Amino acid sequence: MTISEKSELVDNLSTHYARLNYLKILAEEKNGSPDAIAQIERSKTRLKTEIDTLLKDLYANWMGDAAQLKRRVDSSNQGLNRCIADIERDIHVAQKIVEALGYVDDVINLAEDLLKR
Amino acid sequence: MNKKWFICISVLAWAVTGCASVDSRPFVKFNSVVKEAGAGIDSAMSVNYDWTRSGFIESFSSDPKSTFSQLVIQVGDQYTWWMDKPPIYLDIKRTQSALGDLNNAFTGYTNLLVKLSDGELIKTDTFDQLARDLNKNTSDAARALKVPTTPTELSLFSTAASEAARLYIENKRQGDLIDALRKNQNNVQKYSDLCIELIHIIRGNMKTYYVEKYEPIRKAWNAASGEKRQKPTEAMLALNEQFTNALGVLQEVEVTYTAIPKAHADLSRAIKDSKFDLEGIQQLYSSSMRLQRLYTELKKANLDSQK
Repeated sequence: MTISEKSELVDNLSTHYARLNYLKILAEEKNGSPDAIAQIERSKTRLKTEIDTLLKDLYANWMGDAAQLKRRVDSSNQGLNRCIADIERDIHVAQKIVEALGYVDDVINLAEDLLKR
Repeated sequence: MNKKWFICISVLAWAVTGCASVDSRPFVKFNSVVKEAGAGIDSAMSVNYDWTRSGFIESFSSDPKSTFSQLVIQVGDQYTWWMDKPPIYLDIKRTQSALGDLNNAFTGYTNLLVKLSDGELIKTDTFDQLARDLNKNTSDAARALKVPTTPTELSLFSTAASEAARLYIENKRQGDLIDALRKNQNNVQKYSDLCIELIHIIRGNMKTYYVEKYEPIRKAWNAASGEKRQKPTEAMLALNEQFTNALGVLQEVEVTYTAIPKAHADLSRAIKDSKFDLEGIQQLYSSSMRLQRLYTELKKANLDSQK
């Protein structure tokens, strides 16, 4: 049974549980037979145990799946961070090239001075 | 002007006009939607936790078969501990923590998308400054090299060169964005599916514990008479409001999570086609604002009920 099927089952059982309790309230309010009320109470207790077991199982499965997905998203985020760092580095490289071009003037002047000697 | 320079500048000018920069607004909205959906499911989870915990206290206390030892934690080595029959609210607490971690990882992803799409990353000012610096430096270099050039030619060259650098980086940025969106589409779908599954689990859990929550109120109501019934009546109405608000939040969050994978795919299409209609993201954004109002009310009602 998949998580989706189990969660639908929990939803159905919880609806039954709420209706069963409502039935018990009505039976008590209309002075229904104590045996019938006790029977409803027993069914309710059994149903509640089933629901709780199913819920525990569902939460445990969900946490396992969530942890797995989180690892995948974290790894993808690391890749994206690298992309952003690459772009920032490219901008920095362009600035460095322009800066370096400024030194050409000094280098040529230096070369001219050396040739004149 | 040198013929080669002229061709180079013309090609670059054409290329620059053909490459529109990314509009970050849909990414900002998508980021906001994911955050609101996460906050919505978390607020429903908090109510679920409180109800299940108080429901456990109620049923455990009234069950004649309950024993005190069932409440005692077994202490293990170092930081370990366990309970023979751990109450279900502890599972909810752990699940809420796992949900928080998953939401953080996912909003981390949508934050990165905003950063990558944001103009701040490739600011126009930076490239304008680059063109100015380049103009000055090439003038100096040309003078030193004794290359005959006019200031206009140098200025055109500097502008074209800095635009070429910007274009290169802009193309890289768009490529990275499209790549990230494509690679993460499955993760987004899985995230949406997982959150919808959790919404259904919480829904079942809350329906069950609504009964556990109103049983003590019912007992108090039955035990009282006349004016003394006002307090339990008030309590029951407040509980009903909380229950219907929680269901409302869960329903709205489910609508949001169902629409998130398509909105994510639309972001990639909008980069490729600037005329692509992003109405879906806009609607999702409006729905998330509605959700924000609903979960704020739910949180407030939950806090009030604990006073």
